[in-house]
Amino acid sequence: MALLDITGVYKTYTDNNRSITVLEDISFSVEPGEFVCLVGPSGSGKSTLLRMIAGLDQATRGSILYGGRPVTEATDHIAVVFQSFALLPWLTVSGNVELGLEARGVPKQERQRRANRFIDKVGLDGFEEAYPRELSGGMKQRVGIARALTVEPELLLMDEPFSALDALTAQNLREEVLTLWRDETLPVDSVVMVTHGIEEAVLMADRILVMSARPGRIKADVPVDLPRPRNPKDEAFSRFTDRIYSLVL
Amino acid sequence: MRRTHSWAVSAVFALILTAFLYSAYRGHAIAEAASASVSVDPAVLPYYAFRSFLRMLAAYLLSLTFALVYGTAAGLSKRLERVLLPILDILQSVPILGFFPAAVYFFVTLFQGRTAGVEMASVFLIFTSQAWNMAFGVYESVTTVPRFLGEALEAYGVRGWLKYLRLYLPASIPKLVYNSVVSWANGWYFLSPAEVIGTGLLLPGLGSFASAAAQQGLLGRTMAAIGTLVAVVVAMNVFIWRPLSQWAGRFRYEFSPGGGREPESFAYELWRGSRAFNSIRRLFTRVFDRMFIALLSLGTAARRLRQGKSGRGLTALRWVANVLLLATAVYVAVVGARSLVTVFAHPLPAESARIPLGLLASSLRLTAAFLISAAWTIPAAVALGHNDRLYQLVTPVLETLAAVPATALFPVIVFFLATRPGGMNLASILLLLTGMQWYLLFNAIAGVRAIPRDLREAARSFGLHGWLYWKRVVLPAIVPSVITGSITALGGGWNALIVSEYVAYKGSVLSAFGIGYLLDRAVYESQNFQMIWLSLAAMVLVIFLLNRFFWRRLYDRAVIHFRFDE
Repeated sequence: MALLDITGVYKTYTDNNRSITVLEDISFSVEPGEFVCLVGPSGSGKSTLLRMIAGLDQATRGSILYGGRPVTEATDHIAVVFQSFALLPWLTVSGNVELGLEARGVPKQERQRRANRFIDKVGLDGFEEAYPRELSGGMKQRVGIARALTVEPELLLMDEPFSALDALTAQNLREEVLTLWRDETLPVDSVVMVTHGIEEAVLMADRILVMSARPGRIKADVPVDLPRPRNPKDEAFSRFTDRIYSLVL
Repeated sequence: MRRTHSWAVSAVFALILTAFLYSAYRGHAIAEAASASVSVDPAVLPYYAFRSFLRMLAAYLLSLTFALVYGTAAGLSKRLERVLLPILDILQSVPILGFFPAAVYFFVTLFQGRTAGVEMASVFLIFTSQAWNMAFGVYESVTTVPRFLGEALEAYGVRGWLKYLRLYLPASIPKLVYNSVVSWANGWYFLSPAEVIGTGLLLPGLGSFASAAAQQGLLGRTMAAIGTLVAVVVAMNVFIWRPLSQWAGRFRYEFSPGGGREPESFAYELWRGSRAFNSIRRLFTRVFDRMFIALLSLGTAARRLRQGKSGRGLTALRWVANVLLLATAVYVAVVGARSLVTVFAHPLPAESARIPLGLLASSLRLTAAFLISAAWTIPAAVALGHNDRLYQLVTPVLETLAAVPATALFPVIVFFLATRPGGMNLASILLLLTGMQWYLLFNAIAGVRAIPRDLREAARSFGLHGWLYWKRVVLPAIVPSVITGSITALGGGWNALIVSEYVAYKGSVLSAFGIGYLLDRAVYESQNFQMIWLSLAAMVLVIFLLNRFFWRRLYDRAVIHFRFDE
């Protein structure tokens, strides 16, 4: 059975008697263990779709099933990594990472133990007591990722997680996210990532869903059959990238 | 909020205010000032409403002009900023009402006893309640214009007046409109004290009508006056401020991080659809543009003049102006110093020993009113800030309620509470409360709405609910805006103390012991300059110390810890 099952989803905003449809007839599913990327021009409703999967927004029509159950609110099995990091400036790295566990009523010591494990995993060992403002962009996003991993989600949602970072930092962090995803000792099973970087999608995903501009529809569903680890300098890689480009345009 | 304090400016200012007080009170008694009689016939209400409105409008136009000149000057010139900003800071924390009787005497003397002097004084009082926040608004707008925008204009040769017209003036509009709403509410608040001066002096208007009717025990007529006032306030909010706020949104170059929209106004469409209004607007814009083009060519001429031989004449002129300014400053300082001597040369009046106790009593009242305000406004702000539909629905109502001046209601409050034991104490706290709560509410709402959407969603997606959400997200996020709100609220509170502890009622005086009571008694009964000066100085000192050593420090620390970085 698919982990995530989306059928016939529409999203319409009504504003002053005008209605704007941002998503139209979206259907796809995500299998356990899959890494799926949503690519498309801005305004194609990618982020809205991701927020609906996370239970932060409701579809106007259609169904979003997670593990066979409709998603109506934020659930324990799904965690989100935000483009803007969304860290609380008044909490330390540990405080931010522990947030999800605190919400679940996990006792303090257990919280610290589990948070520390993931802070180490993302390479922030020694920064537990630092505040977000003292960290670079790349380090902030590591905190965002550690916070998501700490709640041990089955499905990790990432909304343009690397687009606020400089090229070099983004490149390193992409590799690390792939390593974490493949790490058998970690709970994360499937990933859905929104991006507008086509190379990024080809580098990371098992499958790429290409979306059209407003209203957003799924134009193509392309499995990425390149062997891992992938090298952007390979000829096969650039051929594949070109193909996706032509689908997006 | 930045540190704007300068000891030199404060010292000079203390001397100026002292000199002002002294010259105003010397040789005058309350009975000498002109007094107009006020009718309590309901038929005069529309006319009185018009008189009150004119007073407000005159003060507002003065404030607007002041704010644009002062704020822009402070924002654009580093040299002026060093002097102008500390002055504004002092003016904002001085309890204006304490200086009001002095202003009345000053203007009455100036106009040789004519009622026009009293009118001027009341317009001046309303002005002092409106101008400072507007000037700060303009200053903030001018200084926060992104630098690249200024540079882009310079690159295309847009300088001087044209740069002001195309960049700084439009950039000031959103804050100017927002602060105008606040200023009108402030103005209405001070309207009643401005029309009913102390125990007897009255100017025809809605505030004096309400007060006179209440003093005669005619509650129905008091309510009619308050009703008229509320109707004027509501009409102005609906037909002027709401549409203007919506219009001002066009001049924003950033979007609010909370992502929510401002409530829309139906009157905005009404104005836009009106043909007569549109032709007036076009005419006005054309005249305005012509004026600016004239100014522009004048500026160019002046620049040429400065570069040419006649530049020497201009320098000489500037030199003369500087000497005159310095001479005035020295004169004022001498008068100030001399009046200070009269305070301390004679033995202090016995009553001055009660000043510390008075401060304590008033502080307790203020604290009570502050705590009650915080207890309801913070939860209300959180609820409103999280629900867009509720926000759009309730905000216009709240803004209208906030604009209903508590001072106008005071006669009614006194009417019901005067005869009860401790009634005056309760009435005083109620008046303080109504003068403080709105600042806290609106600041807290702004704080909640400034929480980035991503952050709220992150909290939701990680399952934060209830108390944990409050503790980890909402409360820390609103700390800076609640502190700002508290500073403004307490400023309003200290001011309100002066009218809340001493009130004329049915031919006698009702009072609650406190610093405001001591001051009012000195002004209206004993006319003892020493007591007036000492109680005002004590009050200003306490406000200053609290702001400088408590609130400012708190704010500076809060900003480091609780702000979202961009």
